[in-house]
Amino acid sequence: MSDVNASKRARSTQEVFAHHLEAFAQGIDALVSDYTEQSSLVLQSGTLTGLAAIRQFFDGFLNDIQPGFWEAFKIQRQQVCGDVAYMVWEAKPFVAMATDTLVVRDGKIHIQTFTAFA
Amino acid sequence: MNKGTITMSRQTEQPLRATRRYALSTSALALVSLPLAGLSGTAFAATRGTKTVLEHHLGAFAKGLDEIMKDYTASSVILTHDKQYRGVAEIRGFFDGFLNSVKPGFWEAFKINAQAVDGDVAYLVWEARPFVNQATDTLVVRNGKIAVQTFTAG
Repeated sequence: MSDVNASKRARSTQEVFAHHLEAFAQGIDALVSDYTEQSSLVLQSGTLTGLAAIRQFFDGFLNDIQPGFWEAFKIQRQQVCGDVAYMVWEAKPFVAMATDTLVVRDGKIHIQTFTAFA
Repeated sequence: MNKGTITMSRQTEQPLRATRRYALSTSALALVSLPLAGLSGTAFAATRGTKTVLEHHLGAFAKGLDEIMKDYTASSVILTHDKQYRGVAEIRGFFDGFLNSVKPGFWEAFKINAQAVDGDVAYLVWEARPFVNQATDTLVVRNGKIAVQTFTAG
């Protein structure tokens, strides 16, 4: 999917979701470009709000990735429903199962919840 | 995060039946409400509707299917790891199946491990071992009802 950041219309939920997934291969700037200063990442450990905190989270995530992670990365389920995108994924043995819910507003991820299962 | 204190100040507009499972869920709510503490007064006011719906959702399990269904509308959707449930009939079927499948000891084992409310989103991580090792819910609340809910159990 092409980058439609520059287009006049806001990106759809599906477009934002697809970009989020692609951005992991492109790096931290591409990842953070889906969020705004008002965006929140809601995690088991607490809520991160704003670009600096979200950048730091993904920076840590990218740095922690072990060799073989992306080869093991598999989406078990993904679905878009209105402004909500839902995903269940795994990257065994690194992540047995994880789930993301993205609430998209004005072409950006407004709120994202993320849970990794032990 | 987690600075200061905030109490849930549960309103008692609903006559609370002091069932054990209700007590369990509310005490768990009080324990995990700390992430809310970072919110300003304005943000807190803006999220009250979401918090009220989350609290009602959790309290409704002790009261039964009709009470659970009060949080949903004909356009509500529940997305799970393997299915989707759209509208009142399908959602009712989903919770009916859930309530019927609950084993003795489930509610005593039910424990909320994380909870957060941010804008129109409520987030929950819970367990009920050994029945459910870990599960998470995300509720997107619109107009005082659950518009979309994602539920994943692992």
